[in-house]
Amino acid sequence: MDLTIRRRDQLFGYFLTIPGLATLIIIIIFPISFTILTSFFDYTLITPNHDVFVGFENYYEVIEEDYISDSVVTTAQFVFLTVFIELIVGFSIALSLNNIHRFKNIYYLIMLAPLLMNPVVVGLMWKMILHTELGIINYLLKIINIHRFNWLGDNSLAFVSIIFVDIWHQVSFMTILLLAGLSALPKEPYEAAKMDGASGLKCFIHITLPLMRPVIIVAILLRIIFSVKTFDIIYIMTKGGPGISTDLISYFIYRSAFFSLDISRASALSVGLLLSVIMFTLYLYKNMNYTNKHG
Amino acid sequence: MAEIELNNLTKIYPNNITAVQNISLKINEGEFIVFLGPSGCGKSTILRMIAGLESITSGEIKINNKIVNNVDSSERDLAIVFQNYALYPHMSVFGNLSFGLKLRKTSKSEIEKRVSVTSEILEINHLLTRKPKELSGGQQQRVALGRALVRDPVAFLFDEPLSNLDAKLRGIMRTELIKLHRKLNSTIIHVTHDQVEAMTMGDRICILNRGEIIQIGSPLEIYNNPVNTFVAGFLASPPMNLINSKISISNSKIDFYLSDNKITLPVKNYPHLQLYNDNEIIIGIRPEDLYVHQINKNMQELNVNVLNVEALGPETILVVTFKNGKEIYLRVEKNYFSKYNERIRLYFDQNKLKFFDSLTQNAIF
Repeated sequence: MDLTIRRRDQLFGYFLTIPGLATLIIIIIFPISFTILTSFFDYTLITPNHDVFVGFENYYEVIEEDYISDSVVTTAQFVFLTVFIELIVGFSIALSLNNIHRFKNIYYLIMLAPLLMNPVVVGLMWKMILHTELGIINYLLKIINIHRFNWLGDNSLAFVSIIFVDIWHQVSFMTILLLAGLSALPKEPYEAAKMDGASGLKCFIHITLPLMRPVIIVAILLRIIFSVKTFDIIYIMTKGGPGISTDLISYFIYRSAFFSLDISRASALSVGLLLSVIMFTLYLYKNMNYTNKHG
Repeated sequence: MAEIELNNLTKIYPNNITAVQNISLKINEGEFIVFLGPSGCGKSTILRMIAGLESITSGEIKINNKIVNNVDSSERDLAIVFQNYALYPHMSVFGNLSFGLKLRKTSKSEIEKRVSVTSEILEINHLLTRKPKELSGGQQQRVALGRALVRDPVAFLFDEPLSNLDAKLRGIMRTELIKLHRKLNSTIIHVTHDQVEAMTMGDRICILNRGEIIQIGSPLEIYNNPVNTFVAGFLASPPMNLINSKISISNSKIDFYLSDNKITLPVKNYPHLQLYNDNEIIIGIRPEDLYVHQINKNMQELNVNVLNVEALGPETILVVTFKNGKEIYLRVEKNYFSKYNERIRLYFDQNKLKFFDSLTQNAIF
């Protein structure tokens, strides 16, 4: 009797998960499986079927690709700089907001505004702001007699501009996560530390940072994953240029698929990117968690 | 060791709630004083103000004759043991004990020596590598205590440190703290709402209610001579029985009724009651001063009905009611038995009666 009821409950449980699982299969599992499958075949848009199995040939092609290493290095630099600066800036803002009690909601609203914007809108907006001839930045610089810059047309400036725009757009995500962590921290260890003779800075180093470590890890991991995938602002603002100075891996894949029309190679690249992100995330999570447990 | 002095200490929160009002008190060097009172009476606020964790609205706090109102808590050299222990969750027991010493730039060998001595006193030396979450409540409490002890502060502040422990462990830790105080002879302020802790641990008890000091004295002084009905009703379990009655004085005699029981006392023994002729007063008697057997001939009698017999093991609490429904408690021997609603007679010594003004609730001496 008991067993029958349990079995019935289990079946009902499975039944309830069907809509969720179906959605998951359609929008996640199917595209990923299709991409993995395609990466092992010679798949062209003229004959869109999996007839010619080529094994790892697409992967070898990707490795031998001329500009792939440049794109990987650019992406790595982009990810490191955006996540690192966002962590520092986001943590500083979160710490200040955590100590503010008046007009907190207004600050929240101002801070959240960029995050609520569509990345395409952000890209278009900043493209205008940074425009060499019509942009407000160059106009303001001109007022104070500084020569205008070609923000998105100069090799090194374009990379810096893209990083700046990404930070402007995403820093509030980091801030919100860290602020949630900070506001959930227990008050008592701070009081105990004060009684033990700790100053504000010592409290931050010895109490806040260690207690915040799990939240910081999650925030960094999420931002790394999002940052590696950055596509919209590149597509809108620079299209990977000038030259290949902002050619992030996601845009590189897009070009392979929709400019070179090499779907198989783009699939192999996507699978490679997915695997590297998974491996890197696991490595980071394992390492940071280890120090958290034993540090 | 420190002498701590509070002068007209007041704390008013921004929402205009007065937590502490005009408290003045001197805590002597090496004294173990207990702040006792119900929840919300302001006892923890006073402790936190002494610690420097709470700002002072007015008044002053002196530690060893030095005003410390504006001295940061990190520089007052006091140690506090919190109710929830407030251990550093990411540090080992050793880390928790040594953190304060490290901040004070104590040498490594000295830190190791002090941690080792303290952990041995508290019997936690086998736990030094563990994290707080791997410890039981009692062990965490010892670590919190150790963190305070290891620094050798000028005074210890205990904010209900035993309230999260089970009854058995609380009893053990109570004894441990008393032993520790005897050994260190340090100034200790212990905040509690548990009157057993207050009675057994303190050299002096300071009873607080609604942010004010109601009575200060040794445990027995307070127990025997409560200054008002609040103290009489708060200390001990079951507390003092308090019964309203109107007194009338005639022919050198004081008469009053406890429900349907007429009690007569000689005026010459209670001259202070003469002012209350034809007025209502509150009569108090402790549960242990009521008997089910007559001990001597001069005892007065009360007729009551049995409501409940609570056998606690070492003793029995008898709940009885007067005819008017007023319940009173008394302690009887452990094997006492009586049936529900049985009519019984109680005896008491008139000298054990306490009298309180029914308007002011203050004791009539």
